[in-house]
Amino acid sequence: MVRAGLVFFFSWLLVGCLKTTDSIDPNRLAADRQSKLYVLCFISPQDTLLTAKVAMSEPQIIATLEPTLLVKTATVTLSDGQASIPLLYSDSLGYYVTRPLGRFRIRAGQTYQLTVSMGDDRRVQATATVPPAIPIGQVRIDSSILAQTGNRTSIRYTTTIDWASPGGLNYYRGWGELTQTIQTQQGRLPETRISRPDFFVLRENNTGPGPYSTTGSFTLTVTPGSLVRTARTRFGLFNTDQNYYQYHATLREQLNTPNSLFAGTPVLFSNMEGGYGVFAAYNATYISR
Amino acid sequence: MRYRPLHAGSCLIYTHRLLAGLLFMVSTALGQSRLSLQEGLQKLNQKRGLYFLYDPAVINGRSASVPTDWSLPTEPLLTQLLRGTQLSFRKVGDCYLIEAATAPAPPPPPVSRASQPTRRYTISGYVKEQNSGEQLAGAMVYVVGKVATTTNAYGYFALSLPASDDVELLVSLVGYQRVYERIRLDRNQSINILLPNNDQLDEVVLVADASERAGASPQTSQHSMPVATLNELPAVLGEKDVLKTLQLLPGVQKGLDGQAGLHVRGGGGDQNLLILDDAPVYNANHLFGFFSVFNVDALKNTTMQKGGFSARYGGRLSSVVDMTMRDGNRQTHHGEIGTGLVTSRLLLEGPLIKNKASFLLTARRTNFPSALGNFVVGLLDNFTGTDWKANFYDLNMKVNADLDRRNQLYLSSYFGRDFFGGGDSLDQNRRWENGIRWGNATGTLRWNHLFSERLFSNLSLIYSNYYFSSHTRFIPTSPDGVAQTWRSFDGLTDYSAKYDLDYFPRLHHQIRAGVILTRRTFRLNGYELLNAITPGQQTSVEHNQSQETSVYAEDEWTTNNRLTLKAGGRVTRYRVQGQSFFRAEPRLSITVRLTDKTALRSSYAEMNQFVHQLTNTGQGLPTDLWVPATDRVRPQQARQFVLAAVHDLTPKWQLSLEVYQKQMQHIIGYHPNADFIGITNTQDAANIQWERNVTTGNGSASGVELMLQRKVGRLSGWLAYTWAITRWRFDELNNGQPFYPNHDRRHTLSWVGTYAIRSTLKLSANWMFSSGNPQSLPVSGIPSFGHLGLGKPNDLNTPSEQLFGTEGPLVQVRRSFNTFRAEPFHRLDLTLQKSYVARRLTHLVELGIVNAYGRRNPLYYDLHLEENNQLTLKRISLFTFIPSVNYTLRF
Repeated sequence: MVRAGLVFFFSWLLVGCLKTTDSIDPNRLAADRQSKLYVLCFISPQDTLLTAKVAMSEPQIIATLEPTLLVKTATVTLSDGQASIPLLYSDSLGYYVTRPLGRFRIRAGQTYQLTVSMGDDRRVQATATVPPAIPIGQVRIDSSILAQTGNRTSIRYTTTIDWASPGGLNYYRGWGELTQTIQTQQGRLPETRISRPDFFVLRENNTGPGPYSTTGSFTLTVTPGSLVRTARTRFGLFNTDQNYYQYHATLREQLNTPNSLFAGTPVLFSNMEGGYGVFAAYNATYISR
Repeated sequence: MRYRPLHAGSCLIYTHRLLAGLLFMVSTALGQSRLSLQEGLQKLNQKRGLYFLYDPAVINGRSASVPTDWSLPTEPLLTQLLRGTQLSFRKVGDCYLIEAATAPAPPPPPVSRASQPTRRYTISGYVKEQNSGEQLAGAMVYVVGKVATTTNAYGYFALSLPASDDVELLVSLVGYQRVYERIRLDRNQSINILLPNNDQLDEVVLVADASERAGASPQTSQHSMPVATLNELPAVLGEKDVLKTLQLLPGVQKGLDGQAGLHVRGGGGDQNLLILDDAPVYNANHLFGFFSVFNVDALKNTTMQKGGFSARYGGRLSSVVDMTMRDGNRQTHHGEIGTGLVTSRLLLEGPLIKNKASFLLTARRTNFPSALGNFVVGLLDNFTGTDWKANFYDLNMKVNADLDRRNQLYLSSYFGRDFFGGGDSLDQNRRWENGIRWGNATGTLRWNHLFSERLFSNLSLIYSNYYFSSHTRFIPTSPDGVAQTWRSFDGLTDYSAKYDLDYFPRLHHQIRAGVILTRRTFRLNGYELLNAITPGQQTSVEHNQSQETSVYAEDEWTTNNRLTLKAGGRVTRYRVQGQSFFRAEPRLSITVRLTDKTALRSSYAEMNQFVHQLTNTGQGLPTDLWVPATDRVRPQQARQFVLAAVHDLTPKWQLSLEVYQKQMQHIIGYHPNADFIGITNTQDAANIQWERNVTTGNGSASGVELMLQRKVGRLSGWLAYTWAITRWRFDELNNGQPFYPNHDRRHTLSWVGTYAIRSTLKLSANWMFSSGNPQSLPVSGIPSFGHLGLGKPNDLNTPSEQLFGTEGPLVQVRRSFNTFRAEPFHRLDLTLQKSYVARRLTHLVELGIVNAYGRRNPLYYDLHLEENNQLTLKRISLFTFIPSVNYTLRF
C-alpha cells in the first residue's frame, strides 16, 4: 500500500511536474508569410510527355484541401538554353503537360531550366542536368508467407534490381509493376491485381565500380490456399540527379517524422529559387517479362 | 636524514584558521593590549589573505602583542605580533611558517654548480589520504624555492634534486590539509605522505587545487571536479550526476534539458572520451540520457580536458573525461546505504589486508520502474500501450593490493543495464510487446611497477562492451494466436592493452610515454526474426573489426621559473577493412609566468576519432549506433588552438580567461532518408544499413570562456561565462549552406556555490542561463506531391495521382536548418544537506529543489493544428519545480 502510494506520488511528480506544455504565439516563428509557388517537374529522356505540377504554399500551415492549393493559370516553360517549350494546364489530367513530338528533346548530360511565373510577379526557376542511363543487370523476386490467419494469408514479395554501378556518388530509384492473377480454392474466376513494390530513392557512395542493388517489397493478401501467378512484370531503374533524391528523401522524412523529442529535424529540400518544390531529372532503363 | 622539526610524533605541520574572529573584535573593543596569537593570525588571514603553517601545539595558549598599526607591511606586522612569544616566522612558498625561535635554520641555498659538482638524489613516493589510504592523484608536491610537480593518476611523484642538507616539501590538494616536511637530501628518499581531510570549516588550507594555480602547470582547458562538489551540488530528483555537473563548466553545453550529454566547444555528443579506470564507456546513459551511468559513490577523481590535450589521450575530438574509481578504505570497513526518488544505493568498502589491500563495491537500482516508464512514455506523445516500465541498475567493483613497494595491482569493473518496455492488446488473439535493453560492461586490470624511483610504469588490460537490443513481440493470448518476434541488436567490444611510463630524469623534466593497442569488434545491423508460421529463424548481423595502435610521448619541461613547456605527440595507425590510416597528432602547451600571480598559457592540439556514433538526435540514446571509421566515412579530425590567461586574485580566488578556435573535418551528419532503429520500429531493422545514413562535413567553433572560482573555505564554487559560436557545413545537408547545430548557444552563464553553514549543514545552489539554441520549425505549408507517388503511401487513382501522388497531407516546410532560436534557458536549483553524526552512524538527509522559481524552459517546440483549424505553437518544457528528498546512512 505504501509502495503503491509512492508510485502514484512519483508518477504524478514525473508526469505532472517534469513535463509541461504551454501554448505560445505562433508569430514567434520566422514564418514565410507570403504565399509562394510550389512546383514539381521531373524530366527524363524516356518520357513522351513533359509534365509539371504547380500549387501555392499555405503560409498559415493549415491543411486546406478545400479549396485546393493547385494553380491552373501559371506560365510554365522548359528550356535547354537554346530552345524552349511551354507546358499547358490540362483540366482532365490536373497538371501542366506537353507532348514535344521531337520539337524538344531531353538528352543525357544536358542542363535544362524550368521557369514558372504567375501574373502577380511571382516567378520561380530551377535547373537540372540529366544523368546517364544505367542498364539493369537482373531482377529477382522472392516471396514468403508473412502471416496466416483463419481467413487470409499475407504474402510478402521482395523484389530486387541488380546492376553494375560505375562507382562514385550516384542516386537511384527503383520502380516496378507486377500483374498477378489469383485463383482461389473456390474456383471462381481469377482475380487480377497490379502491385508496385515500395522502392525508394537510394544514394550510393562507392569509391569504385561494382555490383549494386535496390530492393522493394509489397504484401499480397489472399484467402488461404489461393494460387498466385505472376503474369507480367515491368521494372525500371532510374539513375536520378541529386535534386530528385534529396527532395523525396526529405519529403518522406517530413511525413514520417513530425516534431519529436527523439527524432532529428527534417528540412524539406528545394532547388526552386524563390519558391518551393523541385525540378529534377533522371534517366531510366526498363526491363519487362 | 629526514626529520620533522616542529611537531613531535606527527609528520604534519598543517595550516590552521581560527574561529575567534568575533572574539578578537570584542577584545579589541575592550581596549586590551594582548590577544591570543591564534586570533592575531586569524585576523591577518581574514584581512590580507595570508596563510600560516604552524604546529597547533606551539601556538595554542600563547598570547601576542597587539600591533600598534595593523596597516604595516606584513613582515613588520608579524614581527610585532610575535614579539615576546619565543616564536619566529619565515616565508615558505606562499605562506608563512611560524616556528620556535630555536628551530633549525632554513635550508641553505643550493650550492653553485660551477664551484662544486653535486650529486643528485630523488625524492619519490605516494601521496595518500590519511584516513583511508586512498592514493591521491593531482596533489601538488612543491619543493620550496625549487620546483613543483603533481602526483600522477596513481598518486605517485618523483623529484630529482641536487644533494642538499635540507629541502622543504609542501604537499597540497584541495579538500585536504596541507602537509609540510623537511627532508635531508643526502640519499634517495622514498616517502609516503598522508594528507588529512580538511573537515574544519575555517581551516586555512591554502589556495585551490595547487596544480591549478597560475603558472603551476602548462595545461590549458582542464578542470578537476572533486567528488565533494559532485555530492554537494543540486541534482534532478537528487540523483547526483558527474556529467550534468560538468555541464556547468565553461565551454560545455548540454543537449536537451535534463540530459547528461556533453557538447564541448562546439563538438558533437559523440566526441567525448569518457574513461572509467582507463576503460572507455561508449554509451554513458541511463534512462535515455536523463542520468549518466557513473555512480558518484564509486568515483575518486574526475578531470576534464577540453583543449590542450595531453598526448596520453586520443580517439575523440572534443573532450576527455577521465574518471577514477575509489580504491576502497585500507584501514577500516565502511558502508553506506541510501535511497531517493529514483534509485536506492549501496556502498561497501574496507581492507582485505590492512594497509595492503582493499575492496570497493557500489550498487544502485531504480525504485519505481512504472513511474519512470510512464515518464518516458509521457515524453513520446505518439506512444500507445500500457504497463510501460523503465529501470536500470549498475554495479562498480574494485579490489587492489600492494604486492610490495614496487608493485601494485588493481582490478576494477563496471556493469550496468537498462530496460524500457511495455505492451498492449494487438487483436483478439495476441498482444504486442516492445522492449529495449542496453548497457555497458567494463573491466580493467592494472599493474603499477616501479623500475626505479624515477621510472614508474603502468600496464593496463582493458575490456569495454556496449550492448543494445530491441524487440517487438506478438504474443499469443489464445490458441489461434501466432507468435512472432523481431529483434534488432548491435554493440561493440574493445580489448585494449596499454603501457604507460612516467620518467623523471632531471629536476625540470617529466617525460611520459606509452603505447596503446586496441582491437575493436562491432556487431552492426543485427536482425533476428522468429516466426511461428515459417519454421526456423532469420538472422543476420554484420561483423566488423578494427585495430588501433597508438604511441605517444611528451615532456613537461620547466625551463626556468617563468616558462613551462609541454611538448609531445601521438601517432596512430588505424586499420579497418584491409585499409590503414596513419595519423600524427602534435601537442604543445606553453605557460609563461608573468608574475607570481599571473600567467599566460597557450596550447595546440590535433585529435582524430576512429569511431563514429550514428544518432539522429545527438542525445546519446541507446539506439545510437557506434560504427568504425571507414574509407567511406573517414576518421574525424580536429585542430584546436587555445590562448589563456590565469590570475590568482587572492590565494582563494582565481580568474581565468580562455579563447579557443577549433576546426573539425569529416564530422558526421545524417543525410535525408537516413533510417534509424527507433524505440518501436524493430520490424524495420532488416532494411537499415548504417553506411547509407551517413554524410560528412566540416565544422568550426570558437569562443571565449571566463571563469572565476573559489574552491576552498565556507563558500566555494565558481562563476563561468561562455561566449561561443559553432557552425557546421555539410554538402548534402541544408542545401550545402552552413548552419548552427542544435547545441550552439551564444551566451552561457553558470553560477555554482556551496556554503557550509556548519560542518553538518550545507546549502548549495546553482543557477544557469543560456541563450536559446537553434531549432528548425516550419515556415510554411505545401502539398506533399512526389514523383510516382514517391515519399508516402498512396492510393493512386487519377492520372495526376499516379504521376505526382496526392495533394495531402500538407507538409510543414522547414527550408533551412535551425533558423529559429528557442527562448533563453535559466534555472535555479537548491540543495540543503544536513548530516546527523551519531557514535557509529551518520545520517545524511538531503532536500532539493530543481528549478526553484518554476521557469518553463523550452525542451522543444511543436507546431500543432487544433481541431478548430487554429494553428498553435506549443512549448514543451521539462523540470518545472521538482522537489526531492534523499536519505543516506553511513556506517
